[in-house]
Amino acid sequence: MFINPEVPLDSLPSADDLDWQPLHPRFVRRLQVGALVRVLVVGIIGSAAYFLMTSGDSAAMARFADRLLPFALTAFGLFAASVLLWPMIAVPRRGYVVREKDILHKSGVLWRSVKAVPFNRVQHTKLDSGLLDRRFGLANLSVFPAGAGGHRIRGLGTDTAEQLRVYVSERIEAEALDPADED
Amino acid sequence: MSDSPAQVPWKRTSPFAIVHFVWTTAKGFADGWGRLVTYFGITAVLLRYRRYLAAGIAIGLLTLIVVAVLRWWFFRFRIVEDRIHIREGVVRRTALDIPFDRIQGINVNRRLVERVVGLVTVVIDTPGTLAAEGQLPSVDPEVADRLLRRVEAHRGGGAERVFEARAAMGTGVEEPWGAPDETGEAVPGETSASDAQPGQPGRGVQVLQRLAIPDLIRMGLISPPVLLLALLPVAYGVQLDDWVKAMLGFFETARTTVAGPGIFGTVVAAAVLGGGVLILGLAAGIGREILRHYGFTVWREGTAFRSRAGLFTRQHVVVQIRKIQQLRLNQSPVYRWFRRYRLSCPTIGMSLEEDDDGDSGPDADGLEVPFADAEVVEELRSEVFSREGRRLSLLPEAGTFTRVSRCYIRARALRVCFVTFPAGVGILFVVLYAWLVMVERDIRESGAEMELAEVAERFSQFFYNWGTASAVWGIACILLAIPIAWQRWRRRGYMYDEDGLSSRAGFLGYEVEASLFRKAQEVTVKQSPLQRRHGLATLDVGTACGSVTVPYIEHDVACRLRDYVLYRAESSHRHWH
Repeated sequence: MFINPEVPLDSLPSADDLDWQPLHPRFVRRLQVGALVRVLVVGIIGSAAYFLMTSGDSAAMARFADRLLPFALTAFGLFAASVLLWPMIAVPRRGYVVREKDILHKSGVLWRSVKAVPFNRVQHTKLDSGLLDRRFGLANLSVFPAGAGGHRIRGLGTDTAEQLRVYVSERIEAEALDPADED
Repeated sequence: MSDSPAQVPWKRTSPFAIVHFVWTTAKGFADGWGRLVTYFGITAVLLRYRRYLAAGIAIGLLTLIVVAVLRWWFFRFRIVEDRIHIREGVVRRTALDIPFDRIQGINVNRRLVERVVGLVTVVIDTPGTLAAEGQLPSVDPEVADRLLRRVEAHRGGGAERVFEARAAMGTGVEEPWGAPDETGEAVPGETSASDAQPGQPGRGVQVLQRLAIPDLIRMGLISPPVLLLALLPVAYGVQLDDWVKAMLGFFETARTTVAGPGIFGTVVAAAVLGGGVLILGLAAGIGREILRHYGFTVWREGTAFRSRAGLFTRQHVVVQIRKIQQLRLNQSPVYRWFRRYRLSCPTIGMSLEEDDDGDSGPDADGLEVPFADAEVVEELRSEVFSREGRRLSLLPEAGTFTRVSRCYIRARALRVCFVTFPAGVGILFVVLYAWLVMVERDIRESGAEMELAEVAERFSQFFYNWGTASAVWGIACILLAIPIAWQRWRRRGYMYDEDGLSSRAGFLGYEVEASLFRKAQEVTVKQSPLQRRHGLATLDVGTACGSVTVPYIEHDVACRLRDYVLYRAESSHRHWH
């Protein structure tokens, strides 16, 4: 017999008051090192461009480069400061929560978002770590539902990431065993 | 029987598949704006150096055919016990292993050439990809039948899937395409669906819509070829002079022979010329629609929607109703005039957005009703949602849509300003600076010496001009942004009931998306700084083929809806696909 009891909305579990798990403390340093590499690359490219412009035959180009230099240095300084400081602001505002039926991930400083993926919709998971991640003992966990974007939780400790991957995989299998009604 | 992969030999498709590879290779060359510009450049060069034109075309065609033959040669497939293996690619090799339990649907298409030689193209849809993952071009119908039997056997003979596959094949694949049935709608209940001729609705099924020639003509009136025809001379910019000369010659002939000299004659000749171009464009549009949608019929048969259309290349789409993840309705201003809608029913992994990657494979087939009236829209909605989402509406005129917060106007206006204002200011800077450099160069070339004060004066004049022009541009942006944002806010709306959510958007026309909560794959609540200040949020319910987004609603409402969607998705015991 088909039954359809009414569910009081107030009784639904809320995703607002959760005990968010922070990312690994070393993740800030890892992002800063990555940002430093980017800053160095941009600095080298900019220096090379300035050298080429000033050492050429064109006096107009050299004059243009000299005029541009203060603006370029200011912009470069702002860029370097922002990318090096940003992880200290952004990482504490990221977090994740694993519940029995779903996994939630929050991110964003100015534009904030809280995304939830039910385990019974997860198609597969992925664990990955780059060179810098491995140097800092970190790993990233991706959770993919069908078609949609899913999560990529960056900055987990290697052990935590592996534990989470195993847990999510078990939850996926448990949900798959739960028989669905035929339509 | 158990087939270990080692025992199953690799097979090539029919050599007629070279036609398919010629087509996909040419399509791959032509896809993408960057490539388009390159090819127009090559065309322009060839047109300028006409003596190389014939050789260039011959080399191009030869390359196309060689690449197609190589692609055919390297394309192999084999069907083993529980999966199909496909190997393809000349330089970049691709190995596809598709387990049968991942196959969402199998569509069988026949192009004109294939119809002549008795072959079929099998398109395999799988979840999680934006395009159909596997394709077997120009194979023997027996291969398609065997694949369907294997999939069917692997799934334990699930009646629904067997039906889908069989329906796609047209039971006996000898002739999946019957002649279009012009006898009007079927009488429900007279005979069973199994009595149907392959590829057309049987007498016992429910025909939802059948497009007649007048409908195709109306669709053709608003087709893109009208615009493309107008852009043709621009595309061949190098030869624009010839175009202009030819047009002026034609214009002069028309003026002198038809209407005679004088202003009246000029006006009549201009009208004849403009009318001729317009009629040509309209004819191209109508021709395109007739080619694509001739005999378009959509009907429900068992647990699936089926549609067929096409004059030469006929396409037969079978979509299981339960696999439809969303309903999307579009109504352009011209469609509003005709009181018609374009309705799409995407399934898992499908996206209606353009796929930029030409190498990613063929588009997955989905059901689209290109010229539906309100009655058909409502009927399809009730068929797809069944007992659920009874209070949801897809029709944009429905009065039950709730408007979003008025803060949306400010946000949209700011967005328009943030995009257009800096772009305009940057362009103004470049233009004015270039002008300043040119003036300095002229002074230097004339041998005159510039005083330091004069240089400073010129720079201050430059910044004054730049600032003034930027201020004017800023005011223009604001004046432009506010009405645009206000109009978008008027179009924005949402409605929900206990089963699903529907969201309306648009600027001149309308777009409506609706989905059931239990089909949700992920739910996101987003907040911008402006939204946080006003206690608002954007709710995004992701499905397997896109998302339904409701911006600028109360944060509490968004959170409660998110919790409820999660509850429905996590507690539902019904199949979401």
